[in-house]
Amino acid sequence: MKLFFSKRINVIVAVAVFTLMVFNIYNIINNTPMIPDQFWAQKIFYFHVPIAWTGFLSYFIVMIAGVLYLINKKTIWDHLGFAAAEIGTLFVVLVLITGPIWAKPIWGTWWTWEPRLTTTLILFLIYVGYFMLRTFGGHPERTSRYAAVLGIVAFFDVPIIFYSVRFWEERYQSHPQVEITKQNPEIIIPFLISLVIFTILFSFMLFYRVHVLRVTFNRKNN
Amino acid sequence: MFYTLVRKDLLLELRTKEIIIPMFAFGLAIIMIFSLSFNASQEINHVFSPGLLWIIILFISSLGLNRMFALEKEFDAFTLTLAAPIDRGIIFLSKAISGTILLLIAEIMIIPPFIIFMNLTIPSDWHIMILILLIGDLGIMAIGTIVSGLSMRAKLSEMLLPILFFPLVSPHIIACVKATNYWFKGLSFINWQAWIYLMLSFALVFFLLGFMIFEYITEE
Amino acid sequence: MENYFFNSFVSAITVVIIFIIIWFIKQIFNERKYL
Repeated sequence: MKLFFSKRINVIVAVAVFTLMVFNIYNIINNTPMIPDQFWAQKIFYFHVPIAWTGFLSYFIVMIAGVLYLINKKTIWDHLGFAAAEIGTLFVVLVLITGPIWAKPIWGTWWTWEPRLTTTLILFLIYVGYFMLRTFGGHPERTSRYAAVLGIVAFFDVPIIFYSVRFWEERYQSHPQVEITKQNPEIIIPFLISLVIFTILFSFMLFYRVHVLRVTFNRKNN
Repeated sequence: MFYTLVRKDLLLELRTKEIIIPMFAFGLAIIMIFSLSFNASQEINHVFSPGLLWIIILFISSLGLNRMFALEKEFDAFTLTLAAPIDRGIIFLSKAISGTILLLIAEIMIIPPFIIFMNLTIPSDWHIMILILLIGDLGIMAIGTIVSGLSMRAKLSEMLLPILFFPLVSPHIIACVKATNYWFKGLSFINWQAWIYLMLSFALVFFLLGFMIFEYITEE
Repeated sequence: MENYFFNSFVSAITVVIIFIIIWFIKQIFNERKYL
């Protein structure tokens, strides 16, 4: 098998994704309204939330890949699950970094146990366990199976985590963004554009990563 | 078949008591460490004890879960049990239920010392607390049995189990602590029933999931 | 004060960009290792 970027189409898509992201950043910097009280820091919202959304989408894909792997045992599902877990965790780490960077100027503290951040933290910890299981699990086929099970279990835990943390304490109910749909179009449209572009980036990263996993797996077994 | 399996686990344990006694001892040790570290007044003890109780329960569950499949692993008895034509899900249920019962026994043993050393005054309707403990234990054992099954054959399984177990069980623990807190303060059930429902949902979801998914864990 | 907010924005977006670029570089190296 050849290098991913030796295929013309992949290079073209990569350049397109890169261009879209540059446009996205430019859009965020120039075309979004300046919010009083929050100034530039508020604009972090335009990539913090899309990254969070793609991170959660990623974990959903881990679950689906897990179910499919358990059903028909094809390695491609194992690769998809692992790739999605990796990229998802990368994005979740980004959420956990940009969140406090946003929070410090706005609320004055680096961290607060508010529902969405806490949920993200718990999810991150669950996936640390996922990678430990992948590393120390034992035989490769068993590891793949167990990882699939864990991916499914983790996903079923997520709504429960979200609800328990949401009603946990009164004083943690703050999250500066009002409901996104109630904002004016000047905010919604750049946000949606950013969301779409980040999802495109994520899909491309996923596709690339699965390719790399497949290549290295085939190499090891030939 | 299910009853046979549960009876087997319980009889084995009650004869040797090699899970319950360490659980109890560990619980006492945690109570002592807490009291020594904080040396708090009685009011502060009252504020912290619901949370502390569930921390103790979590840690002693960890102990029990590590041992849950130990006998099966050691004597390769799993292969024998698997050879019998029963639904793998039944194995999961029997392990989870026997685990719950053992955990409940350990908790009932640890609560009197807990009350004494923390100098607590407890509300009169203690039967509600038994209910909270029961549902809490069911949830803990449901997710715990799944995780124990996943980690039992791994290297460093004693480390892998807590790392997987604690984040997964955390929403359930939040609910248990909230429920215990409200009960402890004497609020009537109506106010905090939502937390009991959350605990019940957790237990239900993971009992069902474990039942369906356990066969993939026990395949060779 | 405003400058402070601007710094937050810049650092946040820089972190994101750097992480993602490093990820791509890692993938390219991963691929080349096995060829």
